[in-house]
Order: sequence, then C-alpha cells, then structure tokens
Amino acid sequence: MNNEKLNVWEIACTLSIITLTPVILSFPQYSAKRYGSASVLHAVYLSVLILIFFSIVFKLYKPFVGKDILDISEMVGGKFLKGISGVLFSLYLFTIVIFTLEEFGQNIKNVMFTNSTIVQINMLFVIGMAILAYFGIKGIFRIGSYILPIVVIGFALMFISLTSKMDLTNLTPVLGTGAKEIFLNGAIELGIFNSLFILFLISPFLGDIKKAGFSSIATTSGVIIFALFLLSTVIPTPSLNQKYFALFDLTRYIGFGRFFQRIESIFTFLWIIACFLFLGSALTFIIVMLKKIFNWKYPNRLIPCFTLLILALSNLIPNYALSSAVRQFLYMKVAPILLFLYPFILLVIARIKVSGERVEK
Amino acid sequence: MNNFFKFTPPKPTRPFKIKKSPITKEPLYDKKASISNSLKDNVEKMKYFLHYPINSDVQCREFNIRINDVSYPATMFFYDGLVDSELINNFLLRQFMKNTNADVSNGIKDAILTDILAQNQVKIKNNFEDIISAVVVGNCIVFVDTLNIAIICDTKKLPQRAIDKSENEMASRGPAEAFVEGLRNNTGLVRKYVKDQDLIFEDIPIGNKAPTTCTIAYISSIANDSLIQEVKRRISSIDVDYVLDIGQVEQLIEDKTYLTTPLMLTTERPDKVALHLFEGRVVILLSGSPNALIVPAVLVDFMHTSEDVYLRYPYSLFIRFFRLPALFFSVLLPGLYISIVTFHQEMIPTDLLFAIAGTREKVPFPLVVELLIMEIAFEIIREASIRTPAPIGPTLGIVGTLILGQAIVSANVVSPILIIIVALTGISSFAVANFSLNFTFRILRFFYIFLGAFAGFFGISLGLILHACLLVTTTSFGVPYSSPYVPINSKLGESDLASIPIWKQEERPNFLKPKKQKRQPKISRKWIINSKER
Repeated sequence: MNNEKLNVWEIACTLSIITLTPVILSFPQYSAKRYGSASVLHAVYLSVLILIFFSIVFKLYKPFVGKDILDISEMVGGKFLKGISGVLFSLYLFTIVIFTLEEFGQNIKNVMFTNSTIVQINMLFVIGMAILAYFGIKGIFRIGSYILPIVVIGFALMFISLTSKMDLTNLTPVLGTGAKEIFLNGAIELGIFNSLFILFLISPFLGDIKKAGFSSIATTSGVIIFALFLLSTVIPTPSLNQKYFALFDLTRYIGFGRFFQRIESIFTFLWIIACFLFLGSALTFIIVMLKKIFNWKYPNRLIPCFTLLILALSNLIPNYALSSAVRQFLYMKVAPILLFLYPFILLVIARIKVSGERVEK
Repeated sequence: MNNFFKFTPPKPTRPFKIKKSPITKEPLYDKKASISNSLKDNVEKMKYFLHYPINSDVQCREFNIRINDVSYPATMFFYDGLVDSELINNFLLRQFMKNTNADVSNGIKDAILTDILAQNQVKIKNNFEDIISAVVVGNCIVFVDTLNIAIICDTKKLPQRAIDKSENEMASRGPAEAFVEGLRNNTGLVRKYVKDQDLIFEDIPIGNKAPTTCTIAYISSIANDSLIQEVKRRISSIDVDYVLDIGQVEQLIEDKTYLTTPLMLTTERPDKVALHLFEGRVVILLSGSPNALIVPAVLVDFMHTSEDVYLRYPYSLFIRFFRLPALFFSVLLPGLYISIVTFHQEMIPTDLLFAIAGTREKVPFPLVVELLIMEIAFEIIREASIRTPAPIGPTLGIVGTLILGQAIVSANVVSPILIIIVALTGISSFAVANFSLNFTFRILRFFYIFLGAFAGFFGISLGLILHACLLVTTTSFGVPYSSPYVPINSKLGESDLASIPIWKQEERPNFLKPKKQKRQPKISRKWIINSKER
C-alpha cells in the first residue's frame, strides 16, 4: 500500500530548497557586486539558460528512463567509468558539504550565537545531518515538500511587509554593469543550479523526470529571482555590496507596528531547517553513490564516520573568507564542468551507443 | 542443672521463604486427545483438565437422559457464574431428564440434537482442546455415554455492565452509546450502525494459555484485501500467553514501538467505528475490552473528534481551525518561550521585554529550571487528579492550580508570566481530541523545552526537522502516516485538516486504496436539480 515513487511536488520542493539554501548565503551579494542593478536580469537569464540546457538533457535522457547517471556511466565506459564518475560526484558533494557547513556555522555564529564556538555550532548541524541521512532519500524529499511552502509563505510575507520600502528605481540601469558581463561572462554562473544534478541520481525513484525537472527549475528560478528582486529593490546595490548575509539583513527591515519590530530570528529559524535539509541530503547522496559503486551491504553504518570526517575537516578551515571563496570556486568553476558538461557528454555518448545498437539489431 | 539457670534465647522461628516450584510433571492426559465412547473416561479427563473439585466454580452435574423409557447416563460441565442457570435448568436439564418418545433409529446423537435439545446454538466437538476453550467462555458441555462426541450448548451469561454513554469521547451531537466489555454486544452495536450484509466479523483467538477472542471487522466490498490480510497476519501471529485488553493488542501489532505518536485509533464509540468502516478501514475488537482499534490511522485522524462529522460545515470548520493553534501551543509554546527569552530577546517588543525582565528579577532560578518546575508540577497535578476518587478531584484541582500557583508566584519561585505560558499550554493540550496524541504532546513538550534551552531556534528547528522526518517515514499498516499531505493525495475524504461539506465528500481517502473509491455521486443532493428544473 506504500507509495514507492516520489511525486513531482516532493522533488520540486526539495530540489528548490537544496539549491536555494547555499545560494542565498552569498549569491545575492556576489551578484550585486558583479552585475549591479542587473542582478535580477542576470538571474532571469540564468534561469532561461538552465531551462534550455535541461530541455536538451531530458531529450538525451529519454531512452534511459529509470537509470541514474552512474548506470549511464557504466553503459558508456563499463564499471571503471561508473566508479570514476561516482567517486568524482561524491568527492564534489563531500567538499561542498565541508565548506558549506563551515559557512553555515559562521553565519549562524555571527547572527545568533556570538558567544559559542564554531565547533559547537557545527556539531549541532552535523547531528541533524547524520540523523536525516539515516532516514534516506524518501524521508528527505517528503520533508522538503513541507518546508518549501513554508519558505515561500515566508518570502510572501517578507514581500508584503517590505512593499513600502521597495524602490523600483534600484533596478535601473537595467543592464547594470553591461550586457557582455551579464550575458557572456555571467553564463558560467549556471553553477548555482548545480543541485539540479541530483535529478539524475534519484531518477530511479522518479515517475516522470521531465515533469519533475521542469517543476524544480521553475520553482528554484522563481524563488531566486524573487529573492534578488526583493533585495535589489529594498537595499540599493552599493549598500548590498557591503552586506554580510544580505537576506538576513533584509529581514531586519521588517516591522509591523510596535509589536513585531524585529523578526529576523524567524527567517533564521526557517533557514536553519533548510540548511539541515541541504546537509542531510548531500550526505545521503554521497552514501547512495558510494553504496552503488562499492556494493556496500550496510551503508548506513558509515554515516557516523562520514559525519565525523566532515566535522573534523570543516574545523580545519581557518576562516569564513576561505570557505566562501572555495565554495564560490566550486560553484562557478567546477560545477559547470563536472555536473553539467560531464553528464551531458556521458548522455551524448550513451545515446549514440544506444542508437548504434538499435541499428545493428 | 547448670543449664536450668542459664538463659538461652529462644530459637528464631524459621522465616517463610518461597520455594522454587518443582518442575511441572508431564500432564496425565493430552488436551489434543479425542473423546472416547466411555463416559467415565471422558468425565475423568474433564475433571483433570478443569481441576475439579479444587476449582470451586466448576460444576459437574451427572444425570440420565431418558428416551423411550431407556436411560442414558450423561454428565454436564460448566462454570458457575459464566452461564445462565435458568437456561440450563429449564432448557437443558429439564429437556434431558423428562422421558421423550424421540426417534432413535438414526442414533441417540441425532435424537438429542433434533428432538430433545431446545437450544439455538449447539455445536459438536470431538477433542478436549475445543471443548475446554468452549467451556471457559461460558458454554455448557454435555457428555453422553456411548457417544464419542461432546455437545456444546451456548449458555453464556457473562457478568457485564449495561451499554452506557461514552465517557471519554463525549460529544454534543451524534449517538451517545459506547462499547462495553461484551464482545457480542460490541459487534451488535457496530452492526446496528452498519446495516450492510458485507460487514464481516472474523474471529481470531489470541493467547496460548487463555485464548481471548479477537474480532476483525471490515466491509468486504470496500476494504482493501491486502490491508485485511495484513491485519489478520499480524493478529494471528501473536504468540503470548494471554491478552486482557485491546491496548495490549495495539502494542503487539503496531509498526513502531518507540514512536511517541500513536499509530492506531482507539475509540469507544460504535458510530466512529462505523464511519471508519465505511471509509475502508479495518476495526479490531477484543472480548473483554470496551474499546476498538481502527487501522490504519494517519496523523490527521487524531485531530478529529467524533462529533465533527455531525456538526454543520461552518461549525466543524471553526472548531477544527482552533484545534491547530491548540496543537501548536501544546507542543511548542514552552520551548519557543524559553528560546525567545534566552536567545532571541530582540523579537520581544521593548515594553514586554521590560515587563518580563521585571517579573523575573526576584526569581533565583534560570528560566529552564523555572519552566521545568512548573511543567513537572502540572504533570503531577494532572496525574493525581486522574487517580484520586471523584469527590476529591475538584478539590485537588483547586488546591493544585489556584493555591499552589498563587503561592509559587508569591514565593518568587517562578515568574507570573510563566504561569500564563504553562496554563495556556495545559489548556491547549486538553483541546487535542485524542487521548494518545495528548500523551505524545506531553512527552514532546519536554523534548522541545530542552532543545530551546540548549540552542534556541536552532535547537527547535533541529527537533522539528527530525520529528517531521520521523513522521513522514512512518507507516501505519503500510499507509504513510503523514497521508494525505505527504505524499500528496488529492482524494482526502474525511481525513483532512479542514472540514469538507458532507455533499462534497464524494470519494473515500485514496491512501486507503479502497475497492470502491466513490462514496457518493457528484451530485448527492438531487433536490438541487429538481429545484432548478422547477
């Protein structure tokens, strides 16, 4: 009687949460710095690009329904390529988790627990991460479907409460730092959507990958554009450039009369829930991939080991600036190649191989 | 002589000590043995099995059955107190002992069954195991010489109370009857509401030492077959010595033991059982228990009361709407209060912050200790008020809440604002419809207090996400516990947080995968069409 497959809503919600949580940390400031008043336009441009890219990818994926990216790697280059791909993807996720954890921890420390040490904060994060990983993919995706509506309602309330502070002239000049910067150099920032790659890891759990994918892209793009619109219209670009955790600062502008004067903690509350989901899902996918490559019988037993390793390595990072820079590098330089280009090439080769086999038959 | 003058203390008497019982000897007779032709033999075995005459309530009555002036020796066994004596005297013994002209050409057995016994329920068994399980539930057993069978006559008259009003699930609208301990009374009550020939009651005995009848009820044309099979599988595989109440059965068949949230609905109302049977659920009844278990159950079911369905739509929507904040306060209010006051003071408006700080000025304890003192005191008062005799209950409530509350504030042990928080939490918990869910919230409240005190909103969010994950991965008899919302299910039926007008409840909840999805046609109020035509 149990529903075996994940439904489109669950996937769209969870992928959006996983994508948005780390992006919200520093992307708005980064985008404001680089594109000025055109950060919203740039986000729209990236959304269109990702939509086109995934349309092509879904077409290529058509004959491989029910297969994940590791199965496709195996089709292309046998067990060796499957192993290599799995290790590469796991390593990427592992690195992202370490640096994002550090960044999450530093942000929470700065806004909430100024007297606590970063290790204590990170420890709480990894406890949640480990327990979520035990619940597995289904647990995480089902939780995600609860959380996104709450986040969206939160954003909607923010929008309503900030309407009086919005200034649409902040969006001008429309092309910000220039068309070349936005449309040519800016294309590389497609990496912010890197979590959409997870679609190819959970494809065996999906009914309709195309529907799930487009819904995820639409939701993720929508929330990013909306967040950037709010930021850009309320905080002028030059000041936004100086901000530390811009969206958090934005919530400080919210106030309703004499009673609700400072409600930024509610935003932090929602954002922490999303962070747990991000970390938990990343660890789950690392375990899922490694299980598949090495045929582990009891992969859950390795969750504590990975958790401790992540905590230990995140504590080695000396400062926030470094973790932010490395994460930025991974998102902008590594993700487009490893998570978009590499699977794309794999799919093309696999498709050619399948077509060849059909012709032979 | 020396000893005569010498004081010798009395020898201490040997204190009584319970000895280890000798290992039980091999039984003299096998219960599974068949009944023989010899009455003497059968009676001897029955006396051995029923521990006669040590067992004072076992009755063994020897008599002769007289047919055509020929006497056939017979013996009757029954438990005094479980049977209807009048029935035995007037419709068994009197019938057996008076001389009849019954036709014995087909044997004495047929003569007894067709001409002599004036009984509506008679069974024939030929082994002792079946006979014993029949006699312990109040039947009367008759052995007749030369017959290698026993006649089981239904003479049950178990001591039980009359059907009364529901005390734990009170409702201002709808039927008021509640289940009692008698299984047949309960099945009768259910059948009274479900007038459908497809309603099936299947009996499965539970217990090796003292088998108790457990009845599984379902509507065969609606309930999912795999669900019925799963319930039967779980119940029939229970291997315990005895069960006394449905609560024990619940613990033996539930999916997760350590989850605080209940996974089965318990009710004492036959009308609630009927409603769930019509949705396609399975109901479990146990002989001797005044409650029924409804499976599978989802979280939302626990938030509804029996009267929700009988109330007009706006009213039920209104009360369901207020149950949600009650639920929220009941679980999270103390945790959130401690988080805000300890870690997120900026959220409190300045004037209120000063007021809180002023009331806490003279309190020597940290907030978490203050809160725990009050919560523990509240739990003790609640527990004590349940255990105390009814006449003292209100006094205890007054002493516990008013006097103690007043004194504790005056003594500066806790701040007045905390009394408001604890009182609001306590009152909210009473608005939670289900008894088991109420327990869950009481336990979870402490969990969230610790998390809030430890890490503020960070801790609460950790607790919430883990708790939510636990709920969404839990199943009750194969149905996701967070249905119909996660996974999303468009056909909600009555299992919806908000109420739906009765004419809109066209479909049964499809997470139950019933055989008949449609409950009623799209237009169930045909008079509307007629009115329009006019």
